[in-house]
Amino acid sequence: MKLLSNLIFWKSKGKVKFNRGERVRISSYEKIKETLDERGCYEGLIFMESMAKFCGGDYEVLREVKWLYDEYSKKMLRCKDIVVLKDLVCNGKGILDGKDCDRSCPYFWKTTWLEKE
Amino acid sequence: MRLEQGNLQLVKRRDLGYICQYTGMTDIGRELNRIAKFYQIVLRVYPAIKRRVRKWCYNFRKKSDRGLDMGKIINENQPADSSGDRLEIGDMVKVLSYSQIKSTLNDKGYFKGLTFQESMEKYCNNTYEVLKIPQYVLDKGGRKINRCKDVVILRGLYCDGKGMLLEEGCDMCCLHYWKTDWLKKMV
Repeated sequence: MKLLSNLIFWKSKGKVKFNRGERVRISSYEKIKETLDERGCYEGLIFMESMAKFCGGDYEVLREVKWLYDEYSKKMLRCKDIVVLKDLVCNGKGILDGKDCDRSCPYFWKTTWLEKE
Repeated sequence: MRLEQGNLQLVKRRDLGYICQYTGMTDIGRELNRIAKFYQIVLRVYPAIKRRVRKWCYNFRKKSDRGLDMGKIINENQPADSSGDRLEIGDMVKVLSYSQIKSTLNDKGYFKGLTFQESMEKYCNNTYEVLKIPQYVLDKGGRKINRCKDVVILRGLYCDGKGMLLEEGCDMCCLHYWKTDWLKKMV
C-alpha cells in the first residue's frame, strides 16, 4: 500500500532540503523582494508585509509542507518547496478592513527565502 | 454570525490580489491527477462507510430509547468543571482531562460547533499559555468572515493533520482551537 501511494502521489525521494528541528536563517528583505512578481508572489505564494520583520532572523523548522487542504474547493493539494517555521504565526492585523483576523495561521516560507546555517 | 458587509469589501480587495497566504491557497498547490484522485476516493470509502454505520446505529438506538427522560441525559452532559474566568492573552491554563472534555461533546464530537480532534487528546492535563483569543476569523479560503465566542488558541499546540489521508496527512500546521469550557485558569 505504501509503495502504491509513493508511486501515485509522487513522493520526493531523498530530496528533503529542510528537516524538522533544523535551524534556518530567513534571507534579507531585499533578497526576497527580488524573487517576487508584481502581485508580491513567488510561485503563487504571497510574501506578506507582516513577514518582513522576521527577515534576517534564525528560526526552527516545524514541518515541510507537501499537502494542503483547500477549504474552499474542499480538496487536498500537493505543493513543494514550502516549510513552516516554529512560532511564526500571522497576527492578521488590519486584514479584515480595519479589523484583525485572529485565525493565527502559520506563515508559509519558500525554501528559496531560507538559508541553512 | 457573518459580517455580510465585510464579505463584500473582502471580495473587492481580492480582485487586486490576495490579502493573505490563506486566501491564495489554490495557487500554492496543484491538484491531483485522475489516478491520484481515484486513489484518494478509494481511501475515503472505508471511513465513510464506518461513519454512516455509526450514525445509523446511533439513530436506531435513539429510536429505541424514546421512553427515557432526555432532559436528564442532556443535563448530565454539561461541562463538569467550567472555569468561568475571563481569559486573557498570556494567561496560563490547564487543559481538562479527556474524560471531562468528552462528557461535553455531542454524538458527532462537537461542543458548541467546535470539534475536538483525536490529536488534541495528548495535550490534556497539561498547562499551556494563551496565545490569542479569536473574535473574527477568515473561513472557507477567505470567502467568509466568521465571529467566534469562548474560543482560545494556545501557544505551540499545532495540528498534526493526521486522518486527512490514510498515510500522508495535511501539513498546514494550523493551531488548535480550544473552548474555554475545556480549560482551567491557573493562578
